[in-house]
Amino acid sequence: MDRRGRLYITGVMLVLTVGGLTYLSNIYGGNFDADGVFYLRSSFIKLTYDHIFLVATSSSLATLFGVFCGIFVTRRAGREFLPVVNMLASVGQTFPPVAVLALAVPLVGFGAKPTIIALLFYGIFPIVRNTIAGIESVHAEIKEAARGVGMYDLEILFKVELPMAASIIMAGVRTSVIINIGTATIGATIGAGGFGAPIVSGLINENFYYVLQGGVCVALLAVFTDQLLLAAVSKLSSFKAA
Amino acid sequence: MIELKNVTKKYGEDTAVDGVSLKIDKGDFCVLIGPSGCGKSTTLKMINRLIEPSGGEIFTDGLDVKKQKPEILRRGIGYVIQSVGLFPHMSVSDNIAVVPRLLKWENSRIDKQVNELLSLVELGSDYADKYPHQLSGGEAQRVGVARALAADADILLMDEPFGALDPVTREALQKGLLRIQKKLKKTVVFVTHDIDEAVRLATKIAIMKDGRVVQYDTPENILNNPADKFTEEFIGIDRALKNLTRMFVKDISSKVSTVKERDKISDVIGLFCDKVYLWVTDENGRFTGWLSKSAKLDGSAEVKDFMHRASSEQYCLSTDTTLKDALSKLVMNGVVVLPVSEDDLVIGEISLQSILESGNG
Repeated sequence: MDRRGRLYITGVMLVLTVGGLTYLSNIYGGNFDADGVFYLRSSFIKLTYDHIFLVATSSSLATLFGVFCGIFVTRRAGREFLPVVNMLASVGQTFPPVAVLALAVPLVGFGAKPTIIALLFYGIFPIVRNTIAGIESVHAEIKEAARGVGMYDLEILFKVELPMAASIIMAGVRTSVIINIGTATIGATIGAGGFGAPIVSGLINENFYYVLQGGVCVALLAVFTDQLLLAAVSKLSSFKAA
Repeated sequence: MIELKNVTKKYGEDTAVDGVSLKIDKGDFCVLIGPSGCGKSTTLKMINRLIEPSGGEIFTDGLDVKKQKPEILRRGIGYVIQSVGLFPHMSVSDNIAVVPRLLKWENSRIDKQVNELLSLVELGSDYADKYPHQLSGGEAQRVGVARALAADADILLMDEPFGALDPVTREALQKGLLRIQKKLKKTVVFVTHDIDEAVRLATKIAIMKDGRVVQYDTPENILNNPADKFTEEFIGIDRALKNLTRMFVKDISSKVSTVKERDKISDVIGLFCDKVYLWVTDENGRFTGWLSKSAKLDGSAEVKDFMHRASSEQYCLSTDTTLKDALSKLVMNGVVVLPVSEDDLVIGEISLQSILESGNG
């Protein structure tokens, strides 16, 4: 199956699952026999929207800050911070997101905000790491050629370094987004909604059905988004570097 | 015109370039040559301020380079490095158009310039949309030269541009560069460690050692009168032969009368004079062999009855052959004289004696 096929199939599966669950819980929601089978506290469409909102907000911010940070430490002015940032990017990944959540709640209260902060914090590292790796992968000779033809530092960054690093940076963004789709489920413990809600509720009430419904939705969303970003990356980097 | 006055570059305690003074006239092809670490590349890069000198002054066209913004200065100076210098994410035409775009030329002017340059470096317009990884080393370097010429800069800096190429490609590119230089008359500074390349291309050679210029002169003078032991060793024991690579068959070929296959021997026998051979051609003037002087020649017969047939590929020298190659062909065939042809037509001959005389000059 080619890439386009995988994109469509995972997309269709996600829509069918979310749609099907919404439809079924509407039909059987009030039925006594089906009580406890379908998660009813919130519609699955709302859960999908909440989940995507959490990930989209945190990941766009993470991309923005991450790329900016990666660029800064590879400039002459920020070179000194490169080792520190490199180390943080590796160590930060081992920090449990739940801990960030716990630290963020006292500062900004319950709900989506602390979850977005935790996801932002957690998702920024792969992006920083890949931005640095991408920019450093541009050979010194190429940069010297760029200086030799008379480009200013900013022109070298935007015309040479970033375009050449784009596919590596995008790979970091992809990793970050996929991690965040999974990690966003813990937001449900502090009332952020999303597919974490049925999972957390199911775990507390020992309801296997809830956990399954939430889990399948998260997995499908992750796989579909992965395919979507892959397609975007291949479009972006239509050139093949030698 | 480029002028370096007492230019020095120090890295901490180490001196890379030590008081170099050079004057490179407009239209000159100046080759900086020397062993690794002699400071030739550093000297080159100080001209467009990729490296800042620790002392001394550099002028391009009478202007102090220090008084110009480095980026603006570099846009006005063509710069060629080894083939890795092409931007891999840009097509050939985008690579060539880099500097004109930085200078904000109009698109129509850029397109015209790119097309002209592609044909100047002998690449077809179908190369415009290729990417650097689709090019051979020689093709990539042609694009590199085109990029350096794109903004019509008067000065061209070339840092071992052909260093990574195989000998055949390198020679083709050297010839191409000479042809371009003849047409455009740029002021070129060219760094290499290959003395043959230097002798072939340069109008002036600066031999460098330990950050200093040991000798700065025309290739002929350097080959004939090396300044010291180092220069003599550096240019090699075969410097007389190297001198011959700068001279061409057309410079010393002498006119000669040829005979046709259908001519009667009695009509041509007078042409021999003191010569041993007469070159024989067909009706169209193409080389087909030679007639040797001997007592057996029968005046009533035709030339073709007594001639020795031979292929023009093996014996004819074209006018743009270097004297070194001509000498080689004489030795290979074990003869003292060979015919010279242009467009397949015999137009003269060249003798061992004439090569020896010009080699001494």
